[in-house]
Amino acid sequence: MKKRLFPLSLSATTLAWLLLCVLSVLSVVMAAQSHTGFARMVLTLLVAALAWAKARVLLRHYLEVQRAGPVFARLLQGFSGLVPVGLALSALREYLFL
Amino acid sequence: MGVQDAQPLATALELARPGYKAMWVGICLECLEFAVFFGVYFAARWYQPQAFQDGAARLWTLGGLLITLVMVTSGYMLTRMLHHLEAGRRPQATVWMVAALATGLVYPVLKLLEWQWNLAQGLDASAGIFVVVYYYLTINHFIHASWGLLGMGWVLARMLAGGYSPQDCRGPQALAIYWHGTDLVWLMVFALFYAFA
Repeated sequence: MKKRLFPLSLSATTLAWLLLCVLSVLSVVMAAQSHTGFARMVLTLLVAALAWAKARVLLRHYLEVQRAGPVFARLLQGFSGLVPVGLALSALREYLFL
Repeated sequence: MGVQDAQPLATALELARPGYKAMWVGICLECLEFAVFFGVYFAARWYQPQAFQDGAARLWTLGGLLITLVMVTSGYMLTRMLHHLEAGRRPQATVWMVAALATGLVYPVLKLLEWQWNLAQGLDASAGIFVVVYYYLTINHFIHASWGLLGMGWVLARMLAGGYSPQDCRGPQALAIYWHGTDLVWLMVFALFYAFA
């Protein structure tokens, strides 16, 4: 019998769950640092990117939007981009103009 | 492609889609509703940027993080429940369903603790625009998650009564879709309010 390289192989869904937990903790740890000005803007962009990445993982592995049909998939993918884009634009505006 | 070819394709897509089409429409409408709420957040932030830059430090960050972990973990448990149910392993599916509901029920407990913490810090409806928008979005999310918890109770009761089978698991699939949709909204709420302490 062929030996498994990883006897406790994790399913894609389990890996997705672990990734969501790790990225959530990472968001808080990153943002917990004291920051102003340019550093604050960069951190906001990173938090926005993490939120988008988490949403993509959830859409693919929990919701399985790829099985839902193209209309539902596009609507939900579009929704998952709203907050990251809004946060990024807010951070840029607040850094450049305020 | 002719009309005759399009019909089987549409049927195949319908069969491959988890849950009910109505539930997918429902979560898209839920997302539309929250898109409007996010619009309120960004409009308020446009006029009061300083209140939003300073606001997150006033919230219970650990509480927000714990709610996130509870939401994604109960969602994960629902995927395991479906995995077993679709494979005809009802006992394992029931155990995962119980675990998903028990984990999900931690969410309202954490919310109550958070509200107590907020009131102890003076964060009520008169504490400024950031706190008002925070309550507006998080209470709305709490209402949606409560419906999901009621759905979990219903699916669990039906499972215990012998309902569902590998050929008939669209109801639990629809529940999981709803919960994941609510989870998706929470990930956005978390980024807006808690991740900048």
